[in-house]
Amino acid sequence: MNTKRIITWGSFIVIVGLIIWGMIAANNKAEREQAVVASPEEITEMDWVKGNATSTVILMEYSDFQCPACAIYFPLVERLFAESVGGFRFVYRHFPLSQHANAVPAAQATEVAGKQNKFWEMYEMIFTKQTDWENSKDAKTIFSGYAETLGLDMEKFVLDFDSKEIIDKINADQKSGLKVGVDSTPTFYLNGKKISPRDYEEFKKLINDAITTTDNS
Amino acid sequence: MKNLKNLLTTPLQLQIIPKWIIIMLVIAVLIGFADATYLTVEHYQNKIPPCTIGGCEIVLTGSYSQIIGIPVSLLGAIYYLFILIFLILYIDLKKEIFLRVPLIVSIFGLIASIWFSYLQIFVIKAFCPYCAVSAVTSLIIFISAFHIFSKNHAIQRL
Repeated sequence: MNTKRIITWGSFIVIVGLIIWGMIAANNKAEREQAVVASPEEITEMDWVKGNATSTVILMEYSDFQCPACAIYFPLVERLFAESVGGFRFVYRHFPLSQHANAVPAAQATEVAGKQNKFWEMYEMIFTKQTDWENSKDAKTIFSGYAETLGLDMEKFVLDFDSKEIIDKINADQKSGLKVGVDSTPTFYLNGKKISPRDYEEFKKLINDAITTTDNS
Repeated sequence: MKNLKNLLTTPLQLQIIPKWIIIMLVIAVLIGFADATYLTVEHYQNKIPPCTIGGCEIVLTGSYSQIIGIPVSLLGAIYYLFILIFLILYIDLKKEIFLRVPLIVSIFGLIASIWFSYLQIFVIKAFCPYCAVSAVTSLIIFISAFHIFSKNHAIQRL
């Protein structure tokens, strides 16, 4: 047997094997390991916060209403409120991505509803009905319909929708995300540390562990 | 057309092919293979792809990301592996045919890359860096092939 031939084919098999193994490992690593990134700014009065107001455990989400993954995580967060031990505070920040044409109008709709104390109601409606408006050429009309359902003052809703105040708020959220390196949605921070739970159980464990640790300390 | 046929069917003069071009081909193919394998693994792990700045997930999960149920990334990985096997056969056996076949096949790789780049820019309007890497490697493979063929052709005509 020719040694050169063994080396040639041996290297071929080893290199191809290493590449496949490496790419599987790289995929798993990308999921598990969190890059060390700066913590996002702490809660301000501009933020939308819900949950247990006395809890020191803070879950912060940078999200895009038109992102399918964000809509998948929405019910998970809702379930966490019901099933976590002792509760936590949840902060929602806008991070609309440019490929989603209706993400900014959706964020506007929630902010405008927020001015009438219905932010979370609109937030829920927009996420649960994402498929109804995601490809619409006139999403604003659909959101107006939601506003009516929620019993908002429609005159005010229309007036506020494109106001500078609302646009500035969304931009400020996005800027705060960009500043700490948010580049995809949803991005979650648990007490300032980036987390990427892949399923509900993992999410729940992270939250419960944080609650237990904080209670004990 | 006849010229093109001559160009592709004329046996290659192996002695005129510089070693560096074969090394460059192998490196480009390995990069392309790693890239396509990464995306194939991601596809079959079936996780929820987050939405990213640029919109890579739209490219990788949209209707153009599969051909009759087979992810394009897997077809890419098979394409690169096919070319790699032929290159190794050529390095091992120094038979002209093992070099000519992958070089001809590289034209299809280039056409596919142009098609998917067009889709990304004009139809999907989203950008996926992984696909850009593959477009570059398939372009390198094609340029190397073109270089070998044209050099060979010029020598044949002397």
